[in-house]
Amino acid sequence: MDRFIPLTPPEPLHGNFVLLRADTLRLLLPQQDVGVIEHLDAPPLPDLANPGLPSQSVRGATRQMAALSSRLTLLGAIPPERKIVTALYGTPIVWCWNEVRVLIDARLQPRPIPRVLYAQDMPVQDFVELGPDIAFVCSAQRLCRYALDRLAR
Amino acid sequence: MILDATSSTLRAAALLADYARGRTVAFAACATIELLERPDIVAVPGMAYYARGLLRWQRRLVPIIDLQTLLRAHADTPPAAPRYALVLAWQRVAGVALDHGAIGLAAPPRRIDVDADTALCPLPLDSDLWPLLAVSCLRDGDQAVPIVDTAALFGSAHG
Repeated sequence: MDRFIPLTPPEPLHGNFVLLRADTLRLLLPQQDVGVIEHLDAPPLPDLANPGLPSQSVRGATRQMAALSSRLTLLGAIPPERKIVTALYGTPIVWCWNEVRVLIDARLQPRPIPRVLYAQDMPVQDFVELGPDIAFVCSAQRLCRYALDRLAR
Repeated sequence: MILDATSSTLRAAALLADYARGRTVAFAACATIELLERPDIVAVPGMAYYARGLLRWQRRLVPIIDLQTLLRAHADTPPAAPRYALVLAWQRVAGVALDHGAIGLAAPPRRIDVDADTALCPLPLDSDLWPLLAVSCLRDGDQAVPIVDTAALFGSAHG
């Protein structure tokens, strides 16, 4: 146990961010980590060969798609309400969300997640309060690595 | 614990909380802050196996954990949402502001008085964590009830 290691308050965040919502989970990523935002007309069919990563053909190209649960695990199929899709820096996968909001020139004060809640490979360390909601601060790289590692297990 | 200075013997109050069927812990009464019914909890992605998330409490967000899962050192099934949350105070070091944490409970805790006649006993052997989390152990009927140090419980990760 790493008892009584003092927590350094996180530095204030200033810049452009993207708020991604997967059911009750809200994630805050730097805008440069998130690609073009698109609307999904129809969810892809489940792919038995790639559970958790269905694929879809768009304009002659095939792309893999993924949707996260509120616990950051990959869902087996894309729920119909996940109609907003984005690319995330570092993977070719297209990610499906309930809601995507871009926050321009935002000034946010992150707060550390209490140490007692930490797990060894936890992909988030801070959170911000946005009105009544909580969003967890994350990078695309850590988010994708965490979700895809669990798919591989 | 709250000492009763009017008595000729030192007395203290403690709260006994049943964290699982037939398993009870004690907290110093002065460390127990508030009992919330139907707590509002926000899950934290990737959190420790024994964690429930962040509890909304008095315009704050404090950690809430499942004591039974922590003491068993593994999560076999996700614990059901707790009916109650017991908010507890702890202090990182003397002289600094109090921090807070909470445990989920199925039933409200009950208060007992502890004095010099209260029987003490060895810690139970059902978890390797007891020596790290408990400062002592009292006997309540035929049950061993560890007295939990809230700073040890909430001051660090247990993964």
